[in-house]
Amino acid sequence: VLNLDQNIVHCASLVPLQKKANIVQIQSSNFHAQYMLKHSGCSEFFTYIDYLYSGLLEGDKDVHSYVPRPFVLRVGKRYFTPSFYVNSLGNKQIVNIASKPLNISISFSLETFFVKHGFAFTQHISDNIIKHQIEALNWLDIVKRLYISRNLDTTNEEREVLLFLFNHGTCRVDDLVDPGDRESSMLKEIATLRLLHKHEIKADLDKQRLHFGTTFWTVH
Amino acid sequence: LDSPLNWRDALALYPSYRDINNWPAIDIATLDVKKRKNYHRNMKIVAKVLSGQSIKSVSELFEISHSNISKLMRRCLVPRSNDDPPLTKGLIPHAQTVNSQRRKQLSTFGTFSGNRCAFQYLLETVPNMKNSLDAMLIARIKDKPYAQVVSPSVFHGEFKRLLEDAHWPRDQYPYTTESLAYESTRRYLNTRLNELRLAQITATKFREKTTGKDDCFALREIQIDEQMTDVATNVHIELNDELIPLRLSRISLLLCIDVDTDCYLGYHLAYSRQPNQQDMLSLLKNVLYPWKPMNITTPSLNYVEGSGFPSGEPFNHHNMTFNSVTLDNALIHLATSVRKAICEDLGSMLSMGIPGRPKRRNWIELAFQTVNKLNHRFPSTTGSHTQDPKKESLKNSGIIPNVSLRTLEEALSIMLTRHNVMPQARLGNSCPIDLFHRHMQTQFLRRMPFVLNHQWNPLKDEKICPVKFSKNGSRAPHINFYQVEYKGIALNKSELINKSVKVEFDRTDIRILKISDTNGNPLGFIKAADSWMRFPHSLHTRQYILKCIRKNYFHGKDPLAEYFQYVLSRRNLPKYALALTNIVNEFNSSTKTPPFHESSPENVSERDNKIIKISSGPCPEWSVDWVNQNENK
Repeated sequence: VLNLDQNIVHCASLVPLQKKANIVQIQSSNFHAQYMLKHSGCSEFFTYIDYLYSGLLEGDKDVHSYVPRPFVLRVGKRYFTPSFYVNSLGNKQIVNIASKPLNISISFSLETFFVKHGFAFTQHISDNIIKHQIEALNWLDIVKRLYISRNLDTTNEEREVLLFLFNHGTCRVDDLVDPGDRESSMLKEIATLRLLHKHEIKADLDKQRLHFGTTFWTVH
Repeated sequence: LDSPLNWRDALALYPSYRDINNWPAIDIATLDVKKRKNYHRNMKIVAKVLSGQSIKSVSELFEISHSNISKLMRRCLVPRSNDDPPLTKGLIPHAQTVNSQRRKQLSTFGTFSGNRCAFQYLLETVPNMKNSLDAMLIARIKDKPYAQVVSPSVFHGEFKRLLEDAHWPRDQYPYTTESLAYESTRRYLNTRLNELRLAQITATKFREKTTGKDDCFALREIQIDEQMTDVATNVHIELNDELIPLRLSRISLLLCIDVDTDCYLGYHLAYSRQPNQQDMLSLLKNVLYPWKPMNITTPSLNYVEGSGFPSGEPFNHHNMTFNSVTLDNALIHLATSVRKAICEDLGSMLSMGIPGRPKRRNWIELAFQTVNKLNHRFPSTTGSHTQDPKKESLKNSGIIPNVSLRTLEEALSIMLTRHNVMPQARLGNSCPIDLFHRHMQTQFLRRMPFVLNHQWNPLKDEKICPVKFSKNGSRAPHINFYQVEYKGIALNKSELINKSVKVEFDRTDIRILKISDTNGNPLGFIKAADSWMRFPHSLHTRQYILKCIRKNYFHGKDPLAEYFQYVLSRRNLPKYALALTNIVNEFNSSTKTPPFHESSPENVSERDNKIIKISSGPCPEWSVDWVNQNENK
């Protein structure tokens, strides 16, 4: 029997905005922080699984932006913070990640509440995310490389890389980057990763870590 | 034997056992020498019977009765209760293949029949006895709020209570023994506790590892931590042409280590018991700026050939960035400036780790253990307890230590760099620094772009400050920066009034600030009030002095000199002696280049340029006499 009366959902604001973690929250959780590309500001995560999932979102072509821990809800007497707000192809989605699914009555209340306000509510199990750890870590590595080079202009280099790929079909990292002199080919390296993040080129990132032998190919 | 089966039925149930090769093997060398002969004989007998030979022929061959052969076959093949058949174990002469059980009635005061297996019998017979005792142990293992600390006496008490609850006859075991089965209870406690703990561990669901060994690479994870060096040192100060030795409080070592190559990347020594955020930033600067060896002055101390840090010669890896930086939850790690330097400037991931799990950062703790091998050659300052013989004696704790601060700094530098050139078994007999260099050369690691690398200085920071201006024009436009007024011609512009400016400052010397408008257009330089201009001082020193003024430790008209005098007058206390050392280092840095001197633009006023020149130009080596002279004036 679903006792929905005990699980009334309240929320002060449904504007997705990450609340900055305070010292107590940092000290009592497995805190991770990193600057991302699809979320402005410093993204803060309270679990390693959330951090990995943000990497998967960065690599998801359909996801335009996301916000970790977007708002705090009150479900009955308890507080509930969903893991992510995801804007995917115009669809607003609320994602919760946990080691096991939520209690069925709470889950039903939340789903009803979010659907009423135009969000879809999805739950993910931690074990399913950890299976994609290599892919997530690869995307997180790419995001770090792109974030630190955010002020570099690589418009010409991106064109060169695309031209190279149109002519050759595929290429490896060491075809574009000089392993002996990384500094001279830094712009080309960043341009390639930007194209990868924009999904204009592709690479196999779910089997192995990004290395000099990783192969790229064009989408078209 | 309880089982209704005979050995032929057992063979029909388990046809695979007809071939003796399917039986589990036992290493003959593990058996007692005296039993080996009969074990071989039993093996031959069973093999022949299983191969289909008649019992009679086997009996004649081995000169053994039919019944003994049947007993042997039954011993090997018939399972007891729900267990598997003993098989090869049954071939070992006199080996116990079934658990002992109580067969006789329990002893009473009238009829004594021994106490063998009596405790086991009680566990099986008394209602709820085994379950209740197990529940007590499981509660303890699972750390339930109602769990008791299980000691043998507590466990025995629970055992007696359960007997009382079951109305166990008073003339039966264990009441027939003097100790009421105390020893049996104790042994059962130890055995059962281990069994239950093991079951708990094996029931734990381990997550499948999805990353492999090839995912180890340099700079994947950096661990940083700090620790007080456990050795007292001395320093000599020159006061009125007299050298005064002082005992120093312990200094703190901040160390940075690369996990996958075990390479020490750099260190920083903080002259205080509690390092601050500026020390953390200095450590990051030391790691990423070119390292230079110290000029060794202590006799018989020398750097090991080839030793150094990755940022130094000949490797020169100072354009590296970290994949993840692992820290503990110390407050200096949570500082906004530290997070900004790691996450925003270096683009790394900051991980604070799960609370209460220091083993997650085991490599940095191991590094401190290595450092302590040096420090603990001297008597430690505290020891582990009040009577610890390693502790420095009361006699010596009051006198000046033999080791000077400079010697300790040199020894630490030599020791930490030496670690990087020591081959290690876990690295395939490679040196940490060689492995690090190899990874940097061959792996597709993230590098900091050259342009950013040359601009980056973690000790430089920015702040937005509003420009203050009184309406009656009695005071020049100024900004308040850490409770001190800063003025300059650069601020004397009408368009800046009641607006904010961006202030750039160097944490190590905050006398002069560089300002620009909110769009980033440089405006010039401003200087602090004259009372704060005498000596270079860090942001942390400024904050500490202001705190002292608030607490009325001194007046604050000439804050830098008063602070120095305040510390100097307490120099005999190790804590203040260390603070004095810190001040002398900071104030003597006036001979160094001022933070914004090199890039002083053309629009700096003549007056401002003069200020820079006076405060930071070549001046004689600072000494404490200056303060005395000032006071005499």
